[in-house]
Amino acid sequence: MAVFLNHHQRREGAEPLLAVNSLYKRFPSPRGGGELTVLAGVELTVYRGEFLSIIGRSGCGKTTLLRCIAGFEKPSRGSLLIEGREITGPGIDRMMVFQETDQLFLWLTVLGNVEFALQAAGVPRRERRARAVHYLEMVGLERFLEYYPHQLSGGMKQRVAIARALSVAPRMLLMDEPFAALDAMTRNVLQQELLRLWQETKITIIFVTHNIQEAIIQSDRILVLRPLLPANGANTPCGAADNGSQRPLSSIAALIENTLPRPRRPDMPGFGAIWRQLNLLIGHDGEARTEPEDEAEAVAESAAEPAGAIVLDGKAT
Amino acid sequence: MRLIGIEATSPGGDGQWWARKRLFAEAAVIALALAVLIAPTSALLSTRVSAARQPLEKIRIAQQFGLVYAPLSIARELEIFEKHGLQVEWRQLGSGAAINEALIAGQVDVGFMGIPPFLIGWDKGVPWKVAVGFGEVPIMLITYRKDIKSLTDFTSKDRIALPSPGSVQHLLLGMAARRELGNAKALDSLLVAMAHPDGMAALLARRGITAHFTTPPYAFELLSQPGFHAVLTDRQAFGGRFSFNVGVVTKQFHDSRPQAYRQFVAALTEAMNWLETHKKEAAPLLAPEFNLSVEKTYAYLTWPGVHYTVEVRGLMKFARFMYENGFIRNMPASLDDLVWENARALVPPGEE
Amino acid sequence: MRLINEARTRLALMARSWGQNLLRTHLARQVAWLMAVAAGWEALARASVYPPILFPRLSDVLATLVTEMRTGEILARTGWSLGTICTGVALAVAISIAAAGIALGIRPLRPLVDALLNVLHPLPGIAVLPIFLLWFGTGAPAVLAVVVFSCIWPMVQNLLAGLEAVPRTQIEVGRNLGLRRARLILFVLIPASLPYALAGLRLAWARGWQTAVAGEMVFGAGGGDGGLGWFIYKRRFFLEIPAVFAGMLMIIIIGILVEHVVFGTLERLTVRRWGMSRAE
Repeated sequence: MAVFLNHHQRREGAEPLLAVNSLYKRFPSPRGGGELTVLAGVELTVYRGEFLSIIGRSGCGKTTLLRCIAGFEKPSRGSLLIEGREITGPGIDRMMVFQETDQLFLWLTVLGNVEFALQAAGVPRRERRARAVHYLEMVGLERFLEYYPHQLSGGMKQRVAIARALSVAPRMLLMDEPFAALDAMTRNVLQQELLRLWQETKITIIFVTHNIQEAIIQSDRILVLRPLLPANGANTPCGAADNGSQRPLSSIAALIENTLPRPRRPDMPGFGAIWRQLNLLIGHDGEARTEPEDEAEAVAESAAEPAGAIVLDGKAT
Repeated sequence: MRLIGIEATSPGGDGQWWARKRLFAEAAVIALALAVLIAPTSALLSTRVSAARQPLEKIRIAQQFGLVYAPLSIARELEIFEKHGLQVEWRQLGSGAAINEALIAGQVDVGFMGIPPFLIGWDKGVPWKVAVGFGEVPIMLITYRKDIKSLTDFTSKDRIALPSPGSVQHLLLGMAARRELGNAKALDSLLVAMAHPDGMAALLARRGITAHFTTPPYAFELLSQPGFHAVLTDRQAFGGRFSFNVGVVTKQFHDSRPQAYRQFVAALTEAMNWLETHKKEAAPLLAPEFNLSVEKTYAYLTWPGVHYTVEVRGLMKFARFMYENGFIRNMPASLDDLVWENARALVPPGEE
Repeated sequence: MRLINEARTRLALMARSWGQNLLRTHLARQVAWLMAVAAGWEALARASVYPPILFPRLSDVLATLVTEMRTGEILARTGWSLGTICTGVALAVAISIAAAGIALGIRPLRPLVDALLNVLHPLPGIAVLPIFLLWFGTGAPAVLAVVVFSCIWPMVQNLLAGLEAVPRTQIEVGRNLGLRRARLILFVLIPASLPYALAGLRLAWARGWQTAVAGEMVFGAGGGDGGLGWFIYKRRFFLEIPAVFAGMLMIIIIGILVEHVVFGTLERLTVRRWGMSRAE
């Protein structure tokens, strides 16, 4: 069910939307002196309408990659192109949904938050309300239009954020662990709703998570990133990547095509195999591994299934 | 004592010991209560006894700082109060209002103030009267502005600094305004309350205020500057002499301690008279306290219009003006309403 | 008929429970205590333990307050004080916004603003009055300058804290929506830092009000100018002690009105409604 692909491999009938070309991102080292390489050699094509998850251990640069796509961070090297145009800053064609539940403007109502986005997007005043209500209906909040964010639960706040992001009709939705702060039940519900929205709107979604199960249930493809730093934090590979004496490291551990039939459930055949593959790729001290729910299921589903070609560092093994 | 100790430690006496302790405690309380009751009486007795032998009466006098208070400094230097059997407790207070309040609250026995504040208190029913006059000094309204030659030259943009509302200066200005502008309160909207040093500094800096109504040494200092001149003097405003300050004594002190009252009047009279007649000798005594050279001190003491005298002048005239212009609500029927019996003799004839 | 009776009973019940609630509230208890203190004051004054001229009856004070209101002087003085303070606070707000903008906008100047804040914030406005009298002249300008001085620092401090406390996420949402500079500041930064700004304004008002009254009292204003401080100062010299107390009552009344009515309403309409209040 899971096919490991080369990230440059064309998908049949799919239209490329976003291209990430040999992206490097370095930050000044927090300890002063020198730089810290967070992303290296990222090559990626994202196709219109697909649901792509980015997964990896914390510190592997998955949020940084998303923020580069969003335009909040400038690449140190390489380029990002959306529909062939270079990304130079944040834009309304790439709407971000953050993990933090404080992303809503507290001084605006639910409706106000969405209308504010529409106003910023230049939607004429008389169209705003109907459009805002439409998107809020899509996330099931039509009865909470006049509520202020502090009167909502965490899950409702994230729904508003999603509605707000969708309302301005972006090319893609960039979601940075949007459900990580929610309880497991709400999270499941919202996952299902997001899938429904995705199918309804045919929007392209790049979804950052460290939850393997979430990634498998939702995405067409899963990009696995790996940290460039050893787990103990010693800063060696970055320099190596720069001086060219060694083969540059890539942040990409693997790109997996998830062909499990939808709707997906953790107890369906093939789920466990992908889970184990991902778990292995992410590495044994990854946060994802510590999630008991996933692990228990993985153990229960011990019948391993063969996978396609594994692509590591962009080269088939 | 030793007996009690033995008893307290005697065998089997634990309970007894406590009972005894309580008894002692009760006795102590009773003794204390008795002491509290007896103490004032005995204190009274002891003062009587000591008064018979060494007659030092205690008296609390409030004073402010300034050359006007020179007689009090002289009295201290020459121990005149002690000579008259008084032991003075000095209270240095910051403002005329504070002196009024201290007198009203019974925290001092004698205070010195201008006639208008005294009359304001009298009008409000404060039980006090004048015991002595406390000297005369020139008071001048000084400006640096050449175009201001009389009160009519002030415009609504000008500001006149004086120590406080209801002060001698305020009333003098009112008198002059009444005569020259037809309304005692005509200039009230120009008034700025400032202590003498602040007013002088502001006028010298030519900032904010146009004129300053003040007394020596500030007036002398200002007049020594080029271009500064007096627009109005106290004589012009009042039309005669008056006591700049008067010594005010509360009814409480006057009635309950007649002996001390007489001693105070006698001592102050002696100090005033000595200063008036010995200015040459007084100057070196006063110079250090006022941080001035002996020459300058002498010059101030002998300035025209400076009189150290216990005569009481101007009481009724101030009262009439204040009554007629709404500064007080009651008019004293006679001088007797305002002065204690001894001071009747200090009022020059024709001022009734 | 039955309906009317029912409605009446319900109303009566509502009124009773409302009354009980009122009695139980903290506010009601405070009012009760104040009444007790007032009664104690009146009783003590009537007992003439202290000279009545220094410790007047509360009833005299209230009567004086009414008289002064009728003749208009106390109202004019109050108006003048409020004018000073409003001007002062408005100027202080403008200066504070500029200072906060400079501190956040021009990196190298941030330490300067912080240093000024640290050095000058602890200085009570009244302490700089002598200097301001020399610089700005006596009376109104100096008092106004002192009010501005005492209002600026709490304002700047709170504005800076507020702007720095705006969640990065919200700024990024704004940027994501294409907002830049002025629009980002106007539509995101300012509303997001409003709770701090309001707290700063509240502090600035309190300090400004105290400073205005104290300033007039210490160095006077005079004549046509001058607010409640000058009113109290003047009446003190005429030994009109009930009027002095009346002036104090006026200060208290204004303080309560502004604190609870103005700021209370402002907060209820904004930060409290938005769940952004820091006071809770």
